[in-house]
Amino acid sequence: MSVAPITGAHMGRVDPHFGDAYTSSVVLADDFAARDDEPKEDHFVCLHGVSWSDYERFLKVRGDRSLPRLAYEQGVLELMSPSQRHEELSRWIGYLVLVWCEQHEVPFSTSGSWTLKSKRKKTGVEPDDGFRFGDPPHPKRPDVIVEVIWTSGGIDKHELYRRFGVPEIWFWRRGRISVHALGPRGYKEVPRSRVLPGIDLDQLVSFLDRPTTSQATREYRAALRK
Amino acid sequence: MLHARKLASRGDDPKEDHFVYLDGVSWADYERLMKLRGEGSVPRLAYEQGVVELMSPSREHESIKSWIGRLVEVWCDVHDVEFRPVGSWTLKNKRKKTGVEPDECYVFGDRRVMRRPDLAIEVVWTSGGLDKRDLYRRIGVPELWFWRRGRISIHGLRPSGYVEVQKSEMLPGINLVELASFVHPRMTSRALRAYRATLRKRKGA
Repeated sequence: MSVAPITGAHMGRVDPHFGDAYTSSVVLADDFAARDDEPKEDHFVCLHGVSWSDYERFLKVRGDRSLPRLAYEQGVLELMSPSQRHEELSRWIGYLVLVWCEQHEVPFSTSGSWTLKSKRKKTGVEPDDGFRFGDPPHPKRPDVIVEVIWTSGGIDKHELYRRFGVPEIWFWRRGRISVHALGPRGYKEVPRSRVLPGIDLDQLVSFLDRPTTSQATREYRAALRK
Repeated sequence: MLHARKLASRGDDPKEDHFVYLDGVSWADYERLMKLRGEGSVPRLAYEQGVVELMSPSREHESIKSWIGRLVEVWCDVHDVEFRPVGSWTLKNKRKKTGVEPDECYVFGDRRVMRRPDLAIEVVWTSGGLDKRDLYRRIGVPELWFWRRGRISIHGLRPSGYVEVQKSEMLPGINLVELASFVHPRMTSRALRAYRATLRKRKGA
């Protein structure tokens, strides 16, 4: 069976669905053959009507593993599996913040993924990373949380973090980190961090494209020393 | 609540199927999950020995699934084959700790009692999902069709498991290369009419 080439003239004269139904369809169906079907997005699944004890059961089953990430709000549970690139970015941001804190002798603790939850507020959320500065670190919540927005979708977490009083959210999105500081009326984007005054996040972000983690940290450290 | 509306959406029209996995899930937890999900077919749930796969299919996935189903029904109609479409039937076996939900499935012929479908169809739009053949084998579904990247592969159940076959054993005579060619990104109901016309012409109707 031969495949008729589609030309502008052919499309004009013959209905592709009736004229030569089979062969024309084959050409269109070939659109699928060339498609790359490897997953690249962050993956989200939502469930509704989830009780608080169901949510706690999910946390227990998930256990110490950091994935999937779980967010809960008034009966809705969001499970999230970040893409590989998303995970890389959030880890590297953590390493570079550590480098900055070492250089500036700021005590720093990171706990990787952190579960913030409140039964009373029927809320639970897990950032990509959470940092605490100072010694001793705050016992209950991070000072800064990092959220990598790789693909859009999923719960808007501002409101959830507000309920836990997290002072600052750093959003990485499309190569830039924006700082959102908590005020009396919620989060507001601010030009620089107040928790870590002096950190130049535009500079930090520029080191995320190195081929290896060690190169990123080494070059960032060198740049900070200048 | 503004953010509550955002909770229900999946954001900017995701192009992929979305998969999330949980491990260490008991059968009771899995059944509780099924109950939470309810009568709907999203997310699709599969269970195997403690692992749950939750899948949120993309719009394209659902579209391709529906069109394949409709084309199969056109074929059955033209060839006078009795069929019952069962959609996304939850196939479970507690003893074997297995649960799976196909995209579409069918029972053929006039049987009243249905323990399991004769044919299960799965669309693989994004790779990375569980290999469902083991699950279907434990349920005992005689034939599987997997659509992937424009091609439908056929798998027949043997005592040792599934083998890929060239022709359907459940619907002998159906040409799946031809059927798959009618499934394309800009498909409309015209494709159904064209397929029916193609089949009738060949049949000499």
